[in-house]
Amino acid sequence: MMREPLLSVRELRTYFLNNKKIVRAVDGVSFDVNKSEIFGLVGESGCGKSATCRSLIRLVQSTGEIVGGEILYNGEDIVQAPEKRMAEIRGREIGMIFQEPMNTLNPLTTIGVQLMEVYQRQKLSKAEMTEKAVEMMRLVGIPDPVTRLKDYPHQFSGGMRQRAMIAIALAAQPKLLLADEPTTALDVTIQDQIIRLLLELREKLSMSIILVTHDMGVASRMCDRIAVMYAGRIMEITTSHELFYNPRHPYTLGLMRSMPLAGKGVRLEPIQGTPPDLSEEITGCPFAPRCKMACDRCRTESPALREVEPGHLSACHRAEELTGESFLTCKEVQ
Amino acid sequence: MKTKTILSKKLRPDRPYALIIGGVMLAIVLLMTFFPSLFTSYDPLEQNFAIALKPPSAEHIFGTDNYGRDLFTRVVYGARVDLKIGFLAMIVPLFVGSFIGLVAGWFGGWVDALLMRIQDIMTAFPFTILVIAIISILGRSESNVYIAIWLVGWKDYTKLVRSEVLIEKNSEYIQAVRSLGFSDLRIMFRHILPNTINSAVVYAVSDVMLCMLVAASLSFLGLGVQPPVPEWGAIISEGRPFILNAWWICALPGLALAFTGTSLSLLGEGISHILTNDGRK
Repeated sequence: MMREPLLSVRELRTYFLNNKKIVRAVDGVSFDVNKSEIFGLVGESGCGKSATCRSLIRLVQSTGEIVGGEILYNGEDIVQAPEKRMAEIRGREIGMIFQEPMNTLNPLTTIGVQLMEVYQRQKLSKAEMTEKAVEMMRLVGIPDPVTRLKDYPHQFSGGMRQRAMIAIALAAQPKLLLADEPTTALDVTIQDQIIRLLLELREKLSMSIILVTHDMGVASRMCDRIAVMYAGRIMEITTSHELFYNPRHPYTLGLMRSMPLAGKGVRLEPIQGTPPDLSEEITGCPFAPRCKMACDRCRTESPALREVEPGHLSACHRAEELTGESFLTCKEVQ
Repeated sequence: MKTKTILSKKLRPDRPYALIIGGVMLAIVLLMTFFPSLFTSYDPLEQNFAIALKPPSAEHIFGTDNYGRDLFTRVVYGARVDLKIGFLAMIVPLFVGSFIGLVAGWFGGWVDALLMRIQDIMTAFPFTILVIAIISILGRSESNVYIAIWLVGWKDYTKLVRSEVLIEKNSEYIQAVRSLGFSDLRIMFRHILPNTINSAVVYAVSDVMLCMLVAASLSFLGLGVQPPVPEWGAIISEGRPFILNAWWICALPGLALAFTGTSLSLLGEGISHILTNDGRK
């Protein structure tokens, strides 16, 4: 892990303005993504994982703004980059795929036209573009690509649309792919195919992927390292194995306990309460009101993300007390 | 089963009746526009005082006016003038207004604020009053009628397109093309415009009628097309002094106006039905 990271996010803050209140959707997030690594961002809905993801290519909604921090991509700060440079980075350096394969394609033009639009910027001839498009469709596993190029998005099934979306996103050969809940809207069998496809593409194209998901199962299958987000902050970052077998944050543990395990026959234990209102000032640890381990220090002093073991970061004052508990043991304790 | 057979024999709600009827009606008007000699053998400008103010008869089915001109002929030739005005007055605002709406909606911020305030100011005045004011500044003539309607008419298209752009702008596929690093112009014209222009096109069809009515009103007031050009509004205006004993001079060109207007409304309705049903079939 001593290599230079591909992407390095430092103290990123993205705030939104909602009903004249400032919503701190991303509040001081820092992480690194290495070359050809799959990095997961997991957490509940509204914890800021999508906002973080969109900030990375500066496509936050019009009510939001990156107010601080830096995003270093190959040493270049994306937050400060002029809009013209951003247009070059989007697509060619950092691509993105979205949650809803139903809505992410223009309904009025064929898949082929939308795919070839990417190649138009490279000033290729019509025949070369078609050839490249067919090759791309084949790469993402769309059968019969030559005829399918002429189809409209509504003629594709959900899974095929997501494949088409991936083909379009990868057409300009980005070195980093942002995948914002790419499997959430799909049923499980298709989900599995898309996961396999993304893993396969990572090997073939040696690109990095940032996977945003709320599904711990998907994250565990795909990611090399995972960051757990809560209330716009990162609670824990470590390798997926460590996260599942040696979690060092009570929130991560809570997520594990609320995850159904097939065949174990144990009751789920949900996390009590609701996430904090991000438009209010939070003092202390944002998870403290819901945390069974919370002490006075947790309610007054905000814990910093610190290295509790080599390569294992946790933002909990009492991280050391959590050794020996994993998603398996906590199920058996029941 | 029974209701189904009755339906299939009589009115089938899935048939585009509005489109068919409107289309046939407009086809008649268009035929008059391009081949007026098919309908009448008289000259619209030829005067014959011997037969002035004659009521409708087999020879002159719409009667004659105070100069003895055949009214039906004047109405038929008037279709050309009125349709031309309606179409030309609509086409420029359709393009300019939609473009302004696209720019305002896409860029937002101060660009949007500025364009929308100008649009608000235009809306604050009644349409016809503003058109009359502009014509009285420019002088009365047919070309000034166009200019006046162009200057005022764009705002409706701007409003329509802008509101659609605001919806489309945040849609996922626009986010997706933005994430590919496409330029603003490319996204605006290749992706946003085709998905937002529907309502403007539907409005444009009925706007032809509105423009025609405004032009006819202006001619009636003596501000638009000048006599002796056979324009429906102008003909109605000419017939006004004789309305008590020669009703046909005012009523029948009015009927032509209503006929054309109905055809365009039906057509607009039919088109909007097809466009909104597009995804379902």
